[in-house]
Amino acid sequence: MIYFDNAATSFPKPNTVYSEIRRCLSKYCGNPGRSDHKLSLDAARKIYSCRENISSLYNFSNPDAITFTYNATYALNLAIKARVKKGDHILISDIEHNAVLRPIHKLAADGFITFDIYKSGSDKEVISSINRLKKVNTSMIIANHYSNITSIVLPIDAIADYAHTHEIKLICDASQSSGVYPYQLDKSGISALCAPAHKGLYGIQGVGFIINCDGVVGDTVIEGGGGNNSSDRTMPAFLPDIYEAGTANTPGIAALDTAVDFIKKITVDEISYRENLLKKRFAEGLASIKNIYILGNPDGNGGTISFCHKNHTPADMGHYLSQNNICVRSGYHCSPLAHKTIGSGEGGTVRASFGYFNTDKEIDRVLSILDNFT
Amino acid sequence: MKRCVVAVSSVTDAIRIERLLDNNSIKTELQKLDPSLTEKGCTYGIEIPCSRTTTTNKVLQHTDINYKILVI
Repeated sequence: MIYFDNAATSFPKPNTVYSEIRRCLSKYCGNPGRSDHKLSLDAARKIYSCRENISSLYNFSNPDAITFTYNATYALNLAIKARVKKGDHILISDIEHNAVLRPIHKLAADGFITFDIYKSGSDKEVISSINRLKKVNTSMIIANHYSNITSIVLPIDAIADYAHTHEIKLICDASQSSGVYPYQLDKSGISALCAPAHKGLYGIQGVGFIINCDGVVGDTVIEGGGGNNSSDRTMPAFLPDIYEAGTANTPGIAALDTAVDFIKKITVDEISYRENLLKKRFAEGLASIKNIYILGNPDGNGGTISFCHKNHTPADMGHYLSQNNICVRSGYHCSPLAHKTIGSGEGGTVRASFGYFNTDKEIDRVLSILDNFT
Repeated sequence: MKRCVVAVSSVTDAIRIERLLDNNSIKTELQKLDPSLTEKGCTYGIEIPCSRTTTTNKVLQHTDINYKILVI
């Protein structure tokens, strides 16, 4: 089996991740922050260790401002809804995932906000588009740093500078860029960065997080028990507790802690370099296959590429590859905006997305199989 | 016998304090406190030797952690 679906979820995971999950479940998986016994306290210590590890990976100095969620979608919803006010105007990019488009659309449909869509492109084009659309009540810009369907990358530093200058909050969707982009959050103007554990960070499904760089303690989306201040009917008004109601996914967070160790050991730069090389090899091979064409930008950063066949639907091509034990994803990838931006037709594209564990040999094997698809 | 405990509002802050004090060679024991000791109920505390309360205050006053040293 060849796995090229790392943008959906990375596979395999580092061996240390599997062993830490087992160790957590068998040795210290009490309910964190609830009890006095060793299992509960050790679980809480492991979660804190993960907060520190993430802080270090993203060059951010306040581990307490990291909120664990259950995925990036939950993180983005929370980051947006904790900061939005009635009457606000929000700008989102033309490569946003439904994790952003749907909550923004809902807020707008409810009459709570208005929004516009700025164009991706060069630094200058993006900033120019944002500047054209900005209104006096624009309170937030949302940026999907790396597209999940192609290697379109938004100029996050330029957007952050613009947002900072104009006192606008910037929410960064780092779902595809985490683990391959060297964030310097202490020095950036990003207000909140959201990411899942299970993609480029090589953790498992069921964990996401927000790095609340601006330290905002806004409105809550979920309320409930957290193990402290139990006599109070309202959530604790401080990070991270205000946004962490209910039992945390301790085995998932323990896995993420170990996965971050793996990334730090290999380094973000090395993983990014390797994925870009794999994608380049694949793109060059695709270009020489009759009737297959690439959509979007294959030259940007990120290990993701979208392609189509002139005579077959993406679904048919995805099925053909699946029958040959090759894992890719066809369709719209929950990103109709991005597909419109790259000009996908009906049926979307086939997406191949590479991870650290893929090899040149696998690339060549898949190219050979695609070459036989008539 | 009198016990000295640094009381905080969250387990996250409790672990932060545990680490800070450990780094300053102050012996600690993380524990859940009697909820009646605080206004809002369930919370955690870090027991320290009562002889080290002054040093503990010196370490913690440079942080943003809200804490109270209880003698119980």
